[in-house]
Amino acid sequence: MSDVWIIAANTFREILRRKVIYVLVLLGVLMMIIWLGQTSLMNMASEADEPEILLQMKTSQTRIFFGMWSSCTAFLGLFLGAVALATEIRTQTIVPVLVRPIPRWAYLVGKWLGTQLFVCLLLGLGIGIGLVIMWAFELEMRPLLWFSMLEMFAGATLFTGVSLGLSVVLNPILAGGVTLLLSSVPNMIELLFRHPHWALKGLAATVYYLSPAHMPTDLLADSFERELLQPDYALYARVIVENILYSMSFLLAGCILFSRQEIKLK
Amino acid sequence: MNDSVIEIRGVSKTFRSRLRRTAVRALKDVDVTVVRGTVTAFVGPNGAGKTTTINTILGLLKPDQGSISVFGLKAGSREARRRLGFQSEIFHPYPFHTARAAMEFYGRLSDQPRAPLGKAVERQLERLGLGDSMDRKVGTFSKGMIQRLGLAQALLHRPELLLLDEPTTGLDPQGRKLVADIIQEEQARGTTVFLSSHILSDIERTCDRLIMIRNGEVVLRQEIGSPFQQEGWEIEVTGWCAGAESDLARAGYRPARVDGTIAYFGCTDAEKRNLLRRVLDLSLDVGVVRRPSRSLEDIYMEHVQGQRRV
Repeated sequence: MSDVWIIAANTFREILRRKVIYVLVLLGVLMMIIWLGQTSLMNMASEADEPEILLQMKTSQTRIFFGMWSSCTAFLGLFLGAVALATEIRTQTIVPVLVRPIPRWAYLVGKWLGTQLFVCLLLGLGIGIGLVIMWAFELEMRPLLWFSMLEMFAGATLFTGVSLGLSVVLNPILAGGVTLLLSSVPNMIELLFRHPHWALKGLAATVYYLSPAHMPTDLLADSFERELLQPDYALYARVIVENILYSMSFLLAGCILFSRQEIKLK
Repeated sequence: MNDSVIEIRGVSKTFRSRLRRTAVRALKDVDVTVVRGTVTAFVGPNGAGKTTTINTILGLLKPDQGSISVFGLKAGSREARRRLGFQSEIFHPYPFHTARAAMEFYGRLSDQPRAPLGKAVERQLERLGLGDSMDRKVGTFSKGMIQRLGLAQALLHRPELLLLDEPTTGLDPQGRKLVADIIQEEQARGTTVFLSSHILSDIERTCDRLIMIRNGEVVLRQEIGSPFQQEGWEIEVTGWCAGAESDLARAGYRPARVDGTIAYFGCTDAEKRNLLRRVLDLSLDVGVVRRPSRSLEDIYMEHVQGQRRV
């Protein structure tokens, strides 16, 4: 396992030196600027003594913050996972590593772990900021929000693991694209499920089971904007676990293929 | 005990484009044996298949046909990789590492225990002339420094087999000498060295066996040193004049070439003594008596430009 940790730590350091991180910081600054624009509206609502509108605005802004941050980190995970291997092969930094007595799977798992660690830390940072905002806005913390946060971590894991696993056999653009497609499939095939023809229904069922598990409700929105009467926590937990396992299955397949694969350098 | 460290038997490798429309045959039925404790040079023009061969030894590429073993183990196996050190033509480290951190990173991946690793890193960096740059980022290194670092990381875990792919690329004469010295030191330590290079003078200086490859085929296997010498003798006679020429011609000796007052004769072992006696009898001076030899460059050009196959 020490090989995995060595590769993971190195991958983490490597990501910190990527220019994309600075793009992310820029995006964060832009988010803050948009945020500041909204707070002036909140001040107006506060001055007009409209507590309900003010609460609605605070809730909505916090939800948007969480949503944007988790989407950004998930997409960053997707990007970093998809390019992790290809970059190492392109820059040939993979060669002095793979000629050492480390198993190929340990290398790939290390790449994933380093990427995952970075994405999770970034997500954790965003969640921390979000919680501070909630505290400042005196918003109620519903139990569903914890599930929503778990879903955010699972989403980041899903994107990172699947895109890295696929990048063993596909180029980074395709790996990223297919990952995105797979995660959108459950939403796309809903209509097919309702189709009267058995073949299309069957196709929908097949595709459904090949794609990641679909959360039946928007946990983030439900955490803030409406209260579910009977939240099915067991189902939500199952979807989260299934998606993590789904991601791991892609990573495992990637490890098996990578162990047998040639490293062709340009 | 099997004395071969690398055994390549009938290896062929073809690269195909993704749509399989074009195929490039990189290796054709290659047989190579590298004997323990030797420094074997692997030479050939660009695109001959040297790097492909090395990459198959490392297990980065898989042969379509044939077999490769390293220390009797499957090429690319963990145990085989544990016992070898490799430097690529251009070493590609992570630019954010310092030289020390890069060495520690590779050392730890080579299962080196942490405690003595620090000392080993410093020793190798000093040995390669990077002692003053240990804590500098690799990204700021010159090409020559990166190559030195590449060799240092290959030597770090004291491998039994060193695979060096053009190790002197980008090095100045001082650096090239350092590499040659290190190869000799490693050989003295018992390390087997398999060295791919274009620089024939370096090979002549450091290697004791030569394998030449052209268009993916091995065209020459030869010992370096005495085997380059040919049969017979070459005698250089000074103070040459027309009278001497006619006297020696009567005895059946004609110079192969005359350059002013210097004549060059070629003769067999049996003729040498008689020819020298006659030359001295004519009061001519004998400049040099030597075995005619071909340089490695002559042999290289002959095999690379011509179609000879040994």
